[in-house]
Amino acid sequence: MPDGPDDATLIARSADEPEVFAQLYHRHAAELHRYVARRLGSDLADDVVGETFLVAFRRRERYDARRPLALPWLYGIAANLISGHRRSELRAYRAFARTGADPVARTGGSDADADAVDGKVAAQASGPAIAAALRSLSDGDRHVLLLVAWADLSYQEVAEALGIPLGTVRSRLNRARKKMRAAIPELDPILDEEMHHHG
Amino acid sequence: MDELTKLRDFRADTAALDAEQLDAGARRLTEQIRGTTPARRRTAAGDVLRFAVATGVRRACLAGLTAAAVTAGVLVALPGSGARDEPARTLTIADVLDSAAAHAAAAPAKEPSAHQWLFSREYGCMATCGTQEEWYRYDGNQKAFRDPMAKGVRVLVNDFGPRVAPAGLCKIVEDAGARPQETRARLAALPTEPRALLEALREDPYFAAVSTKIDKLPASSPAAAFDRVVVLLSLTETAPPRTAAALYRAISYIPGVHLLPRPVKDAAGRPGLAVESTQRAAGHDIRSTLILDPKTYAYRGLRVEGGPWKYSSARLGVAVVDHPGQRPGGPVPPPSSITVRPFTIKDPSC
Repeated sequence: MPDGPDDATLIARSADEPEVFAQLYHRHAAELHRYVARRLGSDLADDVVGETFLVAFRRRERYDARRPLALPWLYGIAANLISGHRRSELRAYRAFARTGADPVARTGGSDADADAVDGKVAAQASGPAIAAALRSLSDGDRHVLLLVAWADLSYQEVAEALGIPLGTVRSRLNRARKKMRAAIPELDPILDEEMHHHG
Repeated sequence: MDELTKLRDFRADTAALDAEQLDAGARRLTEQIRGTTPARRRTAAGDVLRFAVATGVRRACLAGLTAAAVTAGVLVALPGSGARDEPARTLTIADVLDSAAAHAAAAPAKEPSAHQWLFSREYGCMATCGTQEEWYRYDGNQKAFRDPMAKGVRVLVNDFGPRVAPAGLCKIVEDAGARPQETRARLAALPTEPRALLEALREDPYFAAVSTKIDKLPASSPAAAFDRVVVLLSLTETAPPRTAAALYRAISYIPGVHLLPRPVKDAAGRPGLAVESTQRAAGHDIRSTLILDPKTYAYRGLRVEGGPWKYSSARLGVAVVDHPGQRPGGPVPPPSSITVRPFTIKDPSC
């Protein structure tokens, strides 16, 4: 947990002092940006994250002050904005699946580039298959799957973020995982028991 | 290995924002929230005219001053005081603050009623610059502002709950500026003899906590004394005239506080007389400047600079109005544009 007041307190205070909202940005923008960049690429992520915080600011009085951590709320706003770039996201998955080259691959020079290339090579084997599978998901299923896998949200947090019941989170996640599993060649497509029960 | 693990490796090399990018993003956000790019000076001056805050030039004050020019004074080129070839006057800090006090003492003493609103419009620069309008209800239970992102008029009213919050309820705003009625009553009870006044401000926990929030200064330091008085002067219509006058006079009794020989521009770019105190805090030399109207010598702005701190604020207008979100002489915002929101935090530790 970051030092200082919790998010709910910051958000409440930002009504008086909008600059306080910048603190919320400092707390969560990096994490949010990385998630959005992973889906849409870094350039679009800049726009989406900026807009996410602006939308959050406009809606700040609707923030549920009982929730000390604002991240799920911010992810929910970002999810809506990401949906607005659906075609762009899907186009990149398709390109990756067809060509084996990821248009959303990390760009820009840094000392870590050499390591990054190694990592990419290792991840590439199943990359196109995963991209194809992600592309085949419905929007709702994709949000749930990626909020769990990439944003590390709990089921409860995903439910809060997307404004859907917990049961829906479970069923969407199971459906999405089933598709992913079937699409990744080196995994055994036979589903485990838990999946059958919830799916 | 399952599909979630595989998926977690997908685009796992996505770069995170670095500190510089984060700072830039936060700055952009603040600017967008404010809905302002730094205002042009012309606009700021226009606002001052429109709000007609100052009660007019107190010629008597100025005339008295000119006559009272003292040998130990500072040669001050008064900004905006008429003809360009007007000779600079010799002023002492005591002269200036005496005139400010005389001016403050002559202000109308009428106290606002509990449900009237203190309107203030300020141009301030912290991370970014912007104009800020606020309305404090005189009883201190509510604060209002206009939603800068709204199309049309949208007034948001923060309700801080009862003055004394019950157990388990934290109040968010607690500073003296947010409680005008209480602050005025407390100020009215203070002695007006300058040294006694400074001592009372230092000893009373209510006032000892008053500061520009730049850094915690030792409460007994001259810098903290200056800071407290400047903040109290910056409040909107809070001190009774007699006390306001005493506050101005008290400044010249704070060790190390001096009058600058040159006008200093406030955040809105208007030159004014500058009274300064320097302090050492957190390993930095910090300069606090009180900027006074060159004609009435009334509070017009403050500046704090030094080390990582850079903060300035210029008062563009203050007034007492009857409705939240109402600008002086402006229309009353319709009830449908007003949203009242509870602003207390439930916390068992309170």
